Amino acid sequence: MRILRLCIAACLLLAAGVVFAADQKQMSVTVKETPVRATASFLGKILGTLKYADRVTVLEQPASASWMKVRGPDGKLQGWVSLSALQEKTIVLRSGSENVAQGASTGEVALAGKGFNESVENEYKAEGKLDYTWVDRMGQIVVTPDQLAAFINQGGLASPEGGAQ
Amino acid sequence: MKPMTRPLPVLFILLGVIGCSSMGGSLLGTVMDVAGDPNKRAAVQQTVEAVQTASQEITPEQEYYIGRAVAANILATRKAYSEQKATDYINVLGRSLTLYSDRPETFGGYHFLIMDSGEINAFAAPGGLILISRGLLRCADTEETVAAILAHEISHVVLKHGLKAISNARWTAAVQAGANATVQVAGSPELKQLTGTFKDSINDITNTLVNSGYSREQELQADQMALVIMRKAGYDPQAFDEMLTVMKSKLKPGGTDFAKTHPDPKVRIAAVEKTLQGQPAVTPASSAEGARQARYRAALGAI
Repeated sequence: MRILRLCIAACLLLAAGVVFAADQKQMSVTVKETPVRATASFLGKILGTLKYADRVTVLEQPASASWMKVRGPDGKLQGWVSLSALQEKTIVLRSGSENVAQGASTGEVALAGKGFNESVENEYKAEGKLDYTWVDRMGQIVVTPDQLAAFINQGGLASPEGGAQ
Repeated sequence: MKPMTRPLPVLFILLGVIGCSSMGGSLLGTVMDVAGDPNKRAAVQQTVEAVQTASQEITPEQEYYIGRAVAANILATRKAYSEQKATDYINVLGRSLTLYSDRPETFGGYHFLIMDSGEINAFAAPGGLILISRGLLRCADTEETVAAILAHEISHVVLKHGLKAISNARWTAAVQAGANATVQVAGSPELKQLTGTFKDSINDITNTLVNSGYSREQELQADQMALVIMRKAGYDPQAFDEMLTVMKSKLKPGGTDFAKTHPDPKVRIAAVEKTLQGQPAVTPASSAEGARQARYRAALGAI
């Protein structure tokens, strides 16, 4: 009987775990890198960064806000991420990678690395003898969070919470 | 003793379900291994179908590579104006404005570059690479009016107008070529085919940006979104009207710049004024106004 009770308890725990996991909404990071902030603001303190295709667990989504509080894939990093850096669909970095099936179960998969990618760019550059020097230089222009904060404060701009609606 | 045997199958089923879902990740790559298992076969089928459906959409990463190629094409025939102060200023102003838009973040981020040309022109490549001519910046004489120019270009990126210039037939071809597993192999026929489709897509967008222009509706839509971004940021949207008025006086009929690719400023001014009618003006504190004007002059005073 003791074993029976243990088995039932194990089943209930497992079932509860499955239900709990299903209840937690997951999102994918859609940008190369995005900061995780302590507050829902572009001027909020940066706690860490998430990378493209990272799956995050949604902890809080205030109505009509353009931010989500999430937990990163390492289970430790928690904070606010701009909605514009997240999507519901799973992003698959390689066919056969672990998140293919997770997303496939709900039909929510977006492929990365397929279609137009770095290999295509290299081939295109070589074929057309196209110069990417200035494009690469543009990509390297970085505006730091401190520069942004100073510019916004000095110019008396509004606090940037995001969203034009 | 009998009851002991009953819960065990339940436990095995539960463990089996969990096991299947965690194993599923490698299913696509091992189709042959699971051919004999009907459950796994169904899971593979489901995975393949979901992947095929989704591949018809443009991922943020694809948008990024498209944008880079469009910008490279435009810069192939136009010189960059690399003066550091001016470049830094439009980048910090432009990046600030994106924070008040509906798309503050893109895959590779927003980056701004000035083109060393007297024509009145600007190009917003998909993903956020924005090119503005010195001639267009000369239609502005305050930070607010520069903000109006940048907010309009940012709106084209937010609204993905560039990607909409790619024909549907092109996407069908890209999906067919992109779905092939060998497409990553350098020199493979599949990669060459996909690169061909990429080239055609880039030409679609570049031709639209340089020659035909976006539709009148898309331009007016970008104007309206720019007004919202400006107001949210704390810039008086009236500056948009002022910038268009200067542009109207400077554009030369028959020009190959905005004179060719954008609706007549008169049309744009009418739509902007209609929106602004009855809306309160945005007035910054006088100290902020002074700071804005001082940094504008220091960076773009001699543009």
